[in-house]
Amino acid sequence: MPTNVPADLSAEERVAQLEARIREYHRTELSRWADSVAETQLHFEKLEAVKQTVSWRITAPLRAIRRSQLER
Amino acid sequence: MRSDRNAADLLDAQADRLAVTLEFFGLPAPTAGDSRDRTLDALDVLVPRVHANRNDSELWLLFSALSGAFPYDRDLVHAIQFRDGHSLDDFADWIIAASAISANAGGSTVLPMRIVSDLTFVDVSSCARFNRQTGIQRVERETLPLWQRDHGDEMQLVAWSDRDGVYRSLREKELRRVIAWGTHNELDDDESTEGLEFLVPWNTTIVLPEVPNHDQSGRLRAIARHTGCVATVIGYDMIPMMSPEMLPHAMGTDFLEYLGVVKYAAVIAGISQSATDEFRGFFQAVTNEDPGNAAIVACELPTAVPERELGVSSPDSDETIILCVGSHEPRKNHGTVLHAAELLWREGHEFQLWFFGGGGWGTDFDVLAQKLKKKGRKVELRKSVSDSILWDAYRRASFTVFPSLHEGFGLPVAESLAFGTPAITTNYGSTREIGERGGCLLVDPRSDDDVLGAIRQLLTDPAELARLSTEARAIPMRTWDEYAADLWKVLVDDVV
Repeated sequence: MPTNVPADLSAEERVAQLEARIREYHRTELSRWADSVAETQLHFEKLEAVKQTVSWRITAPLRAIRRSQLER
Repeated sequence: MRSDRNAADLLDAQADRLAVTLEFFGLPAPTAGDSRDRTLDALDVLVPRVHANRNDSELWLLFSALSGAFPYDRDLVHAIQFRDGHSLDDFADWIIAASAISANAGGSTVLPMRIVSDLTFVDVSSCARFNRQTGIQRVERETLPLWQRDHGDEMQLVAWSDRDGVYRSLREKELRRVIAWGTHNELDDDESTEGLEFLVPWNTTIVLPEVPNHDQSGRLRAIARHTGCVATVIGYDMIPMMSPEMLPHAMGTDFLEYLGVVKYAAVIAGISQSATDEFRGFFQAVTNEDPGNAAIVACELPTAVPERELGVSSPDSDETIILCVGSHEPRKNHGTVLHAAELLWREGHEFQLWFFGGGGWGTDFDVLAQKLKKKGRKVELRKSVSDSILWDAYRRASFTVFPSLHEGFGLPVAESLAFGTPAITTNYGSTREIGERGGCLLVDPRSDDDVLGAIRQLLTDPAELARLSTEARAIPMRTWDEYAADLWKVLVDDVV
């Protein structure tokens, strides 16, 4: 498998370079992890905010009826 | 709960949780670099450890610490398969990505993590978070103060976090809702997270005195099935399985997930012999594919009300009062009671009919009751009443009617008898168990004639009413103290 690690390095140096790349890759993964979780959390909070609005409460009975129709 | 969390907070919390995990295993926590460096340094130690030792509990702990949420059973099963079937490097790559699944679904908590191995967890989430007071909450709010008195230093009350991702400690107001109900009703919601902790059970017992929701059950199943923790539950009933037509659709879905936890529970303490038999039947049905080791025992609910409540109330009229306690839903069969009452009013009998109970669903009870009221019938509806008002109603009623189609226990029957007030109730299941001890007329709740005949008999036969009242007062009452002590023994001591 090509690694793009210079061929003139010793085996130890090649391993060290690859490990450094993997570490950087994992650091990026953790950032993506945190961004993804934070974004989901934000969406959840927006959804919760909608549920606090007057219009959501007013339309609640209609949603309940529609849901019960779907369940039949 | 508004979190104001951002990616940096999440990464800091993640690194801190992994540091706590390392220290719990007696290993040094990394301190160099930013939060991602600390996390990766911790994973460099923890991932090879769980990959090599094949310990599912440690894998669960690593997954929980990494994601800030307890994994669902299906996610932990994938993790076990990946750990056992792939190289260390592949597993290390995979677990970082996979831990986002739980975190996205349940919200990655930023509360500080503490691993608890020396205390029994008691999950009182619903009871702590909401003012609702149905049968299950009544059991919790009578039992937990007694456990707190007798075993306060052996247990940890816990609730689920706002998105049901992890266990956390209780807020002060939530604690009062559980152990001081009656003195602090109608508490405001408090959403502050100050002082709260993310609590991780480790090789301990988790008592479930209430039925968890869908999400919680998915995570609890993983704990009960794969970790060193033991789940023990109060078995209230199997109504969603045995009488699903009597419950809202969503409740059945929650209950099915809950059974996934029950299947791996160590002890199920049924609240009546009838409920115990229902759970035993469930185990017999599922043990063909996966033999369980659960102990299924009856730990019957008390029949007594608090002694301080057993005073005498002076009636404000001589008119007969019939009391019917319970929410208005198909299972409670209140339509049959209204029907019988209307026929008796037409026959010329004089009485008041009181319905005490929360809202409901799925019946035309409210419409029928309002129609009768418009006709001048003496129907009294009380949706939400305090305990003291309820106790007073039991004292003032001539008798109670509880022709439920399916019950796990039937607290209103037991409470009625505790006040010496005769009850008309169902002639099968748990209410029959209570009724056979005396003070009751047992009827077929599916027979309008049967219910009508019993009510007519107690309206017109004062000697029979007095005889039943005498019988009721002679029944030996099991107290909440006795129940709490027996329940702790069954769900905690006997397990240890």
